Amino acid sequence: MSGIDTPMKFEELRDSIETLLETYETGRYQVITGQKQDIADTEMKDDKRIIQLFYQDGNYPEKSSTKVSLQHHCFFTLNYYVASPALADLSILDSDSATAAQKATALVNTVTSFSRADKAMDEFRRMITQIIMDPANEQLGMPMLDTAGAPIVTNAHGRKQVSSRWLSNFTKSQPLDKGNLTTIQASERLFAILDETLLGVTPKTAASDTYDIEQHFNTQSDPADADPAVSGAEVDAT
Amino acid sequence: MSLREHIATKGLKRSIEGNFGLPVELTDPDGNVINTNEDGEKLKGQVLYDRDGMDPENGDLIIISETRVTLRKTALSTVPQNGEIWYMKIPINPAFPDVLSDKYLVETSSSIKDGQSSGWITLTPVKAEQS
Repeated sequence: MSGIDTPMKFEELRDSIETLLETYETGRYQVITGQKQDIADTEMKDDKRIIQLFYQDGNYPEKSSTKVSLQHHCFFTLNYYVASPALADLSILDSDSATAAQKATALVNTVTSFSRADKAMDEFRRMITQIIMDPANEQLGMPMLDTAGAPIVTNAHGRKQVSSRWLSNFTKSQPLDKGNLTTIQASERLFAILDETLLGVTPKTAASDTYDIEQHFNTQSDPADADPAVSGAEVDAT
Repeated sequence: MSLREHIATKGLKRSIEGNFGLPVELTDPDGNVINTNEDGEKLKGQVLYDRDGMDPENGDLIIISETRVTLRKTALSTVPQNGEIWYMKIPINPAFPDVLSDKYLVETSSSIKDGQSSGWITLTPVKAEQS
């Protein structure tokens, strides 16, 4: 199995987060994965508000290592978009029979678009925080059990696929100049720590279940922190 | 009449309310409907449905679908001021100028552009929906 053609854990996690957010989107918001070049204000109006998810950056440990598995510190960006019109009693304002006093009252009771957009953004943030940080979602939708029903762990210490996750740096923008609705954008960082298995591009022989690169280079290692077995080994026919 | 007065009245009337003008109906904060000018004619203004702008996310030049209405101050019995909330109706499509079905509020989220030098104001309203 070549690492070039096999999705890494951060890609699986991205898809898993997308599926997790989509589970709760109906009537509340919509999920976009990737970075859309432009979004019109009408596309994000009221409960069509948009959350845009994409893998932003990540880090591996800053040391040379011959280990097959490495911890990947991933940062995903969550961009929030809301757009709101103003609300007023248009039945009074449009009425030919309504008095000036009634119309004046209707105008006083207007709910401004900028206050609605701001509250819609706060509500949106609340929704996403509750979903992402729900203790039941600590694996962000990644499978917790394998096909045999055993817990999926990444090392002998029982470390789970997503060993940690948190949200940080939520920042609201000034209202955007995008159209006839008040539009507000916000962004947030979702941080997750994963164990990646670096399959590399070197073909593996079917005779061995593991490709112990440390033995190959005669490198000292801690047996208690052995690399996971490389599954699905294949022979290079050429 | 000085040249400045002429510009603020007849000059603007010709440029804003002439062949390019579209009907506008306003309701002021006191609930009074304003749909005629000082001469009792249908109130008209320069209604633009889109404009050039800069995409705030990447700095590219784009067309923004944002309504802007420019009115001659001397045509209005009451002139909108910043901090007030006004109701506005304009044609939803310039092809149907007599159907004032596009509804907006001039609210405090966007300041009124006041062209004091030439006697006009520009309103940037937001869409209004039934509460």
